[in-house]
Amino acid sequence: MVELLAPLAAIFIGAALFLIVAIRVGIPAVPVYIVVGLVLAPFIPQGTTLELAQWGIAFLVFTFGVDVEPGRFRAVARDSEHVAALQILLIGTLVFGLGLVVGLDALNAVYFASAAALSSSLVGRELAAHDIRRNLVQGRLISSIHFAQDLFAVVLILTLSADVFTPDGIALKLGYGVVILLVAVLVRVYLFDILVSLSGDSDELIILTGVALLLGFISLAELTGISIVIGAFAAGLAITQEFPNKLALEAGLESFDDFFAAIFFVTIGSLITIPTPRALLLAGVLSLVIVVLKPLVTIFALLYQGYETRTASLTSFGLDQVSEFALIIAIQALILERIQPDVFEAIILVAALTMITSTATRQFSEPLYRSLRRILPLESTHSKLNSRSSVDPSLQDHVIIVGYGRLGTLAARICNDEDQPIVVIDHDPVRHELATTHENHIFGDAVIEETWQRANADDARLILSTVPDSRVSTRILELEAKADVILRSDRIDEADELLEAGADYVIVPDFLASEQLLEKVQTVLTDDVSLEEWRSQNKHRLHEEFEFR
Amino acid sequence: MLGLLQTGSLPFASDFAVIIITAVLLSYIARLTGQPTIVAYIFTGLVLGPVFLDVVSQSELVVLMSELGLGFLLFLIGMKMRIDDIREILRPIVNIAIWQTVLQTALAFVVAFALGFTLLETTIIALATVFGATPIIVKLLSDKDELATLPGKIDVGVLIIQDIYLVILLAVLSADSLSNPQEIAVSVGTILLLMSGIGIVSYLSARYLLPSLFKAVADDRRAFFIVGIAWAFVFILGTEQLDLSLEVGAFLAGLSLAQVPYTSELTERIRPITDFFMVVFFTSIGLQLAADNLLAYWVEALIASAALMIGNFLIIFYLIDRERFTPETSFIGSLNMAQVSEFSLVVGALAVTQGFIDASILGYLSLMAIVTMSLSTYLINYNYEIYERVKPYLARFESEEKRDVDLHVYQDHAVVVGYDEIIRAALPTLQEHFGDVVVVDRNPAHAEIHQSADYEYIYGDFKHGEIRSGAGLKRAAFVLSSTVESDINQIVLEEVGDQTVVFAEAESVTDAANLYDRGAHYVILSTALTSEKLADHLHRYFNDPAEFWSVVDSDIGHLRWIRGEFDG
Repeated sequence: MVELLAPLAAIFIGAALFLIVAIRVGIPAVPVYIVVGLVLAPFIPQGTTLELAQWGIAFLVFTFGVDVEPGRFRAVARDSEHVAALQILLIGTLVFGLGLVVGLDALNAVYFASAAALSSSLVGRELAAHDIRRNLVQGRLISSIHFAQDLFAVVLILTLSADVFTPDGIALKLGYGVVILLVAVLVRVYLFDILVSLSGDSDELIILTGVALLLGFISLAELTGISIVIGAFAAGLAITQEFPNKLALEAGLESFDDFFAAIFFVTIGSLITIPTPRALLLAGVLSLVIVVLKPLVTIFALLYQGYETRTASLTSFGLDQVSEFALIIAIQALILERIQPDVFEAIILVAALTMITSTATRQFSEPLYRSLRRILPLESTHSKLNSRSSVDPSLQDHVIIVGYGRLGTLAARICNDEDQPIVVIDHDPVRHELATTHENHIFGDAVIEETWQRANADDARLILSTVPDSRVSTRILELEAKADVILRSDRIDEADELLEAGADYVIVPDFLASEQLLEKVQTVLTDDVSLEEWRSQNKHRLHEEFEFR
Repeated sequence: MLGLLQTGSLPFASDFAVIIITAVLLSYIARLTGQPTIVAYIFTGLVLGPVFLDVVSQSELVVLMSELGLGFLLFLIGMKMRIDDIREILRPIVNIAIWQTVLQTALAFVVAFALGFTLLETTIIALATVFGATPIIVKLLSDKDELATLPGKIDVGVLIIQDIYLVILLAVLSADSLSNPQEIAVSVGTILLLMSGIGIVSYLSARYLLPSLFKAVADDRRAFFIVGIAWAFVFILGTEQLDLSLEVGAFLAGLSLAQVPYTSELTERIRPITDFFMVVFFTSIGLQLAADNLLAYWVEALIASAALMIGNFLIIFYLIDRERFTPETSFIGSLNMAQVSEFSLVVGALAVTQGFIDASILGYLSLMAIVTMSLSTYLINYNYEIYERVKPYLARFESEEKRDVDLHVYQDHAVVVGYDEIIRAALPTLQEHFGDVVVVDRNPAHAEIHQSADYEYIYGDFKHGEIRSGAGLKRAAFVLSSTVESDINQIVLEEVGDQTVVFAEAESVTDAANLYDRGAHYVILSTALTSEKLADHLHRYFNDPAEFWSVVDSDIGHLRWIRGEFDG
């Protein structure tokens, strides 16, 4: 029997018990793990567990590296990088100063500041999953700000792993880091496809190949004396985006990730003993900064760049927690014996705390946003709204089309054919750009009042929403305009509720599709059709559709 | 606060990097030569251990991970024990398995004794070499899509029963005192008693606790996985407290999950880390072997390999034939089983640790495993071809009374991926037309609807290869995929047969066009359908409002009717 087996068992059993409770209230796993660690601290021996926890770091960073897809963020990348930079600079400098004031040395103040400035993509993106999937503006902002921050964190880790903080020492580490990243790019370009074809269609082998790349790069990092984080990140870059068994690799890595991440975060929690008053003071300062100050800075930065108040608020609620990268920085500093115990404990405690509060701010984002608006002078300059929107104020009996996706575009085209005046509202920069071909178009959020005033909703004839977002739908019904209202929903039960609440008609794509599907199934099963012919007919019809679009 | 900081930095991965990179390289070679990966893993241990390079040391983490590897492997094996899968042929399988164990032990005993090993060594060797190699048989048969055939089912069934025997054997061997027959009897008695105690706990939890527990977490991929692992650890800890080997606990934990519907998904989630830990496990076995250990008995190992392969084949052929299956089934079923399992190494390594045998016997067992596994891979891959050659000579086993059982195999059935309002309407039609409908769905909220329905239901994610083969994708006549994940739809289109009709769903025109290019017969593009409908509506709204309102009214009526139907 191995000594470590019992602690490991304790970690997983504890994590499972807490998770069963936590998922009912929607708390993400990471803070739960840290809390489990706090509880289990006496049963978790330090040393080897910490060694195992490093595997957690490795897989976390590796998965991040595999996911790096810079292309997706292009639309808002510029703006969000400004916000990320601004936020990191402002908060970072401020907290660095605060750290010096409470008597930390410069290095510890940097650790302190990094915990305040970086936010957790693991938690933030899980909480904002809905907005990200729906591709809403705040969803995209949240994920791209996290992305920029994570990249920044990787550089920070590389810098902080230097043995000596002289320009030469740092330059040497950076040099090694760059070399390893270059090796990764070479593997990606020349070697990876060969490895994929060598592993054939074996899922098992492609997953092990991935793990082998990870451990190989980490060894390389160890040999050159730089942080394993860089090795793990490089290994992620070495894996290409498109290959036949990518799905299997991702599924396999997810298992490793889930397994070792649990060990990592629980171990981190277990490193906390009873905090000293000074640690509590530091923790207090840090939490205040993250829960209150950081959202405010984010909101004002986004307002300044012309986003709407609501977008800015909702985005900021996705960023108000400590990053897992800050935890990695802290633990590495601990291993290097550079961080003060009080600072370390403060960071871990606040990480658990803010990840939980962030769940709350996310869940109550709408009421929070409304009360924020009442308390603070949050005036958007509406510069985005103004500069990008154009509406004839004298519009009467017009059709307001919310959402300029496929359906919105179609509706706009039909209205034009029928000589009906329209206003198109969209909140997605790319789609709105397309909508500017119409005379009247608004770049704005369909949930907020200004947008509807601008669209002159009171005098509209028809409001047609093609957005399956219940908040938008509810808002439109609350307008109580005299216009007819057609909404869209993705669920039949929700559609029914919207009809009850006063919508005149609700489009449900699935409902329409199911009728059609049944017909097609019956055709192919009962009719005497040549399959190949029928297939090409369907294909042909799609191409006609495409032309029409 | 922290007592861990003497070293300044923690050693990390270099040992593991060497292990895994070697294993992957050898696996590439294995794949190119048609060998299963397990052979490469065993070689990894030999290459890295004292026999060749001697570069890896037995650190604490190596030991931990190899223990976990074995534990998780037994957990997975436990989860595979679904009696339903072999119910049709349960009786013959039990007969075959019991007699096979007895006869093969006897054969191995005679061979080893004749080769000059001591009585104790002979006993261990005989106990260790009765098992068939599950990973090889299952992997190769599933690649050839023969798992669901009668010989395949017989083999898998026999392997399942052997696993129970293996678990008991491991428990007995790891007991502390085995010096005289009386003690052995007492140990075996205690162990069986304890095991049945844990077995009862596992049965009760399978009955009352697990279904609702897993249903509660099935929505959250991470929690689902963690709870699964934790369940294994509960039993591992429990057996540790009772001084039983952890494999017993892991196996019983898996067993209790075997009848829970979420098992296939959990298996696929845990398999990747288990594979990795198994590599570490075989490496740690290799580490126990010095160079002279491995080759100390190489002549004996070759002789014994030949004797056992032929002997095992004959024994199993006789046993299957005795159950009155056709000669074809007997031949294929026994040809597949002609090898020594990787568990011979597990048992051997344990016996070395306990001091029953010395490392050179472990070397002998390793050689036998490698030789018989490599050769039998070719036997399995060409099983039907070999049968065609020898068929004339088997004529004397033909008889009117011998018949194969008609197994229920998915063939020309319909596979439905995902379940939603779109799909639901089509199910009755499919059922009527194809008879068998397999629904693969990963939404736990639907589990109850599925369990009370007539069609087969698998809880799981279609991106796992095993789940696809469990649904018989390759043999399906019709596939209806309601997922819009184009990766999954592409895999479906790649794997299905030429004649299979595939309906898939797409989110965008580009995806849809791509799916048509890859051979989809019809792509459901609900936005396209919606567009048509919306266009009609708008034209009416502007030109013929009365007509619009009446159409809308009838639509709403229909929608409400569907909703009532769906809820009811």
